[in-house]
Amino acid sequence: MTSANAAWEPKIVAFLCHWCSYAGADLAGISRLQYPPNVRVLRVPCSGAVNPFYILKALQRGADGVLVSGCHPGDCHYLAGNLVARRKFALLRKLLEQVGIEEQRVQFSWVSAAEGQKFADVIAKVVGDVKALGPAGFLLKAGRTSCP
Amino acid sequence: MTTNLRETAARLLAEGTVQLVLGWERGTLPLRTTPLFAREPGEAGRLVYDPTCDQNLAGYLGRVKEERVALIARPCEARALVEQVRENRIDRDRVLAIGLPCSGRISRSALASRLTGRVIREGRLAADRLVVAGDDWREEFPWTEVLDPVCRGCRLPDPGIYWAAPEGAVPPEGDRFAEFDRRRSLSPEQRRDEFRQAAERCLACYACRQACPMCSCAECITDRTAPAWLGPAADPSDTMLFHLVRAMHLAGRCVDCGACARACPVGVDLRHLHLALEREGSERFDHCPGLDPASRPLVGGFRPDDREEFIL
Repeated sequence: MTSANAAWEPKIVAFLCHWCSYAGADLAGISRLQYPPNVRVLRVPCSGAVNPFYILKALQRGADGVLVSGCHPGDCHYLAGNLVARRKFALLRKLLEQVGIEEQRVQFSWVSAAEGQKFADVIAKVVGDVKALGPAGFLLKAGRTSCP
Repeated sequence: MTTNLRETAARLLAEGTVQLVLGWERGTLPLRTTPLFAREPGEAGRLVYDPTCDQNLAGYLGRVKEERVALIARPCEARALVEQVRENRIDRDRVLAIGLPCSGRISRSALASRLTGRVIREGRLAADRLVVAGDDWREEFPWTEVLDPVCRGCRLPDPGIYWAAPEGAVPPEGDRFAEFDRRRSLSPEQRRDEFRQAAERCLACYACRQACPMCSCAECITDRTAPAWLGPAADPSDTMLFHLVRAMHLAGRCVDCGACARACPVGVDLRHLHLALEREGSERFDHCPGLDPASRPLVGGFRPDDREEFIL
């Protein structure tokens, strides 16, 4: 591995639902739990509000991996937004597999507001998985080599 | 059969049962058809029906204003009509679906590769033989040799939407998933390469979107300028995103008529994306598009016991 590769750190875009996972991330923070700093958090109203296109767009704009996290089934603030999302994500995974995009690049989780430790663990797993895969260049748009 | 069809169409128009008959007429090039919008009984005489009929007519239903419309329907049109009725995009009572038996369609790309680039000046069908001729050549062979792969193993069950049901239809044998299965056997790298090559050929002309009977958004994501999700030029990254998001939009709705692949001017065939979602929809969610106007949508709904083994 060259020194450039050794210095490479993956960029992960995390879509976190406002009601559970974002609060879970907050809990991880105020509990001073350590997790890799590779994640850029985007707060969304609900995991059901995450259009699959947002995920593709993140990969196009330079993300190496994407995490979408929402409330556990039954806990959705909007009753069933996460259950609708679950179907969409199952289909999106199949579609990405069909065109050869590694399944670990786009991951999904349920993290409640009380699960600070689980949030830290999920981030560690996603960052570790994407690190093992290396940079994602497949959907990257030329001239878009970095996101802040 | 064409004579019968013309008589029926002329009668429906003359009686005022419908104000419009949607069918096909001869195109200006050999072996090509173009949609016919017949509004006068006299125009019904231009109707044709044979394996060269290319377009999926159901896509035009949302764009015509007539109170009652007769639709010449093969199984492809019928399935698309079912989906449009299911989505409340078309009033079931507005459409008379005249079912015609279909034994498949000619694939122009298969024909072109068989003729290895020779230009067709003349082409006609005589029973099951296809006769094509150029400046200094002539060939004759059964047209089923250039059958559209989408027609192999066609799902023919009557979705119960016909005004006049087709009789004597024999679906061509084979497996419409054949190309899909080939791609499933590739490694992720090979799949990425093939998808990238297709995206690089894509001109971003969106003929696939225009030809699709189910691509029905009033404003397509590709036409939006604020924010401009996709650039105006045919950048491979943008075309990849377009085809992926189009597949997602068609998840559980695509009736696998193959109109997108036939409309493509550069021969990009990405049916396998839609088939991947169709198969996942049927295996995972027991969903089959195009057969039941009362069925629940695949995306936008859920069952409490949907599997979630992939969620951390």
